[in-house]
Amino acid sequence: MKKYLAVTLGILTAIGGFVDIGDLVTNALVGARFGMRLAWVVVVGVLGIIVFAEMSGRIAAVSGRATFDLVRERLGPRAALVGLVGSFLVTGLTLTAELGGVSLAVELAFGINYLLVIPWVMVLAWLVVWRVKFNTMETGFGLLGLFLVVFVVALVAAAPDWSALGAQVSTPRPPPSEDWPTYAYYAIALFGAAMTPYEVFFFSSGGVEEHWSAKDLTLSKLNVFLGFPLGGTLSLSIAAVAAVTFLPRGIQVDNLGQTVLPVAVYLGKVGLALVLIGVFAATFGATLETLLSCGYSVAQYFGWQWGKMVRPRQDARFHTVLIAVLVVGAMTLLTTVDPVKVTEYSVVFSAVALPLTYLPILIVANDPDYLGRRTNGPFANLLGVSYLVLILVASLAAVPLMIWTKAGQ
Amino acid sequence: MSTSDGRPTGVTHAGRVLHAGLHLLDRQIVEQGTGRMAGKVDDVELALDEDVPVVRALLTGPAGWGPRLPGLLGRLVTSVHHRLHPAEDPQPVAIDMTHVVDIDSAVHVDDQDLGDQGLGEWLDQHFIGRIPGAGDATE
Repeated sequence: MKKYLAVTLGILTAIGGFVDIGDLVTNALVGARFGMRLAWVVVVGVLGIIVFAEMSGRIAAVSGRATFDLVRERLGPRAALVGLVGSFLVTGLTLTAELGGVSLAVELAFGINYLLVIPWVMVLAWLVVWRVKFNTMETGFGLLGLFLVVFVVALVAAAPDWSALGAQVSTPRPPPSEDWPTYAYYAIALFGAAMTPYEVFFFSSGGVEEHWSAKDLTLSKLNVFLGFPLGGTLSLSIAAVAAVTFLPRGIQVDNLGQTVLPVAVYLGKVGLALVLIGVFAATFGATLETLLSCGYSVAQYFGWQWGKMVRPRQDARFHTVLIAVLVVGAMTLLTTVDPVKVTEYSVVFSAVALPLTYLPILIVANDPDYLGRRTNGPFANLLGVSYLVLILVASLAAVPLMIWTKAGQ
Repeated sequence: MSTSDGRPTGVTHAGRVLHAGLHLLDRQIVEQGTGRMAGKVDDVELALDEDVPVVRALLTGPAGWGPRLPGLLGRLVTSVHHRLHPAEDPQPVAIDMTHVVDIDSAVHVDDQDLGDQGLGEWLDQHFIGRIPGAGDATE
């Protein structure tokens, strides 16, 4: 019984933890402009993160090595340093966006200007990574993030024309009001939001923090195979509810308030309260995940001690990185840069940084030195290689498209 | 750089042939017993006086890592480390291969004082260690 509880808890956590500020903003924005015509990208992205999260989870469970360990191991000090700088900047940018998301959720709930909230969120996030046990942290915010299910409820309550939504899903091309480059640009943004590199850093390092062994493989796989698709469903419902509410009226989404507005429209005050709790928990959880991921990747590149499993004094360098990143992220936001803009850039740059993260995972997942008899089967390799090609295309196309479309304007 | 087993004679490893570049370089060093992560194998020291080159020691730390970076960046890392290090001519931390207990997904070394932790120790004494709760486990 206890075991089933743990499994359920893990899956629920994975669902709640899947959605972050990038998903919230990008899905609503895309839903309002393109309807469900980009829904296929979310499906492709979720499948991609499943493929690589499963590999990195398996490697972490069997060999005890987290993702950036492998990046350094397989790419050597030079290429891995390029990868480190790239993914560190992207993850730091994502952290900044998440901090902004938490503060905006507080502003929406209490009407306090988000700039005044940022320092408190910063201190709270630091206290959590300083004092709270990994497992408590992970479960707590993951479960609260489940409140985002109100997006699904709101969609049903909106009683949309399902066949019209279905028709949008099956017409993967831009609506008359948009052109192809913009469509492609937002496809890459959605792909980047679903496959952000920090997710595998965090997932694999979290496995090491929780002392996974080969026995925990089933749990890891259940989290990935059930939790991520259900989390992806939340993403899709955010897009769908925005499509139903904004697309017919020609309204563009450019702030977090608009992301949650449809829930208030269809479910009233209670719905709004619940969705704000969900957004707060999801973005705060993601703040912690991105923050720790910054520390994990640097420490794993250099071979430093890392993690919340030891006392801070024993991994002083790791904790120093966490504090520095958190302060820089908060200070960036305090320049009054628009958090939603930061989010949009972070998901696109995520797409740029993807290949150097995922290539080493695929290589090591085939190495019996690490995995013994649990190396990739032909199916996992086929998917892995196909996705690497896709990732490479998205990575190369991201910046040119950004310039061409003026970041999707 | 392939060596026979990569260790000096006398320490056997069931005849495993390791590729120093593939199995040693850039691998995580873990202290046996405590499980402490003690750096990466940033470089290896080869003994060239035998018929086949044999790995004599694992080198770790900025003095081992810096020279492996290209051009200006490599020189920068090396010279900054040189400047900050108390020693006259700082050498990379060398772990003799006799201390290597096992090589799997990490290089396990038996408990030995890995010497100067440099940055980590300094940050512990001057920054992290001074924050309340730094010596406590998480709750």
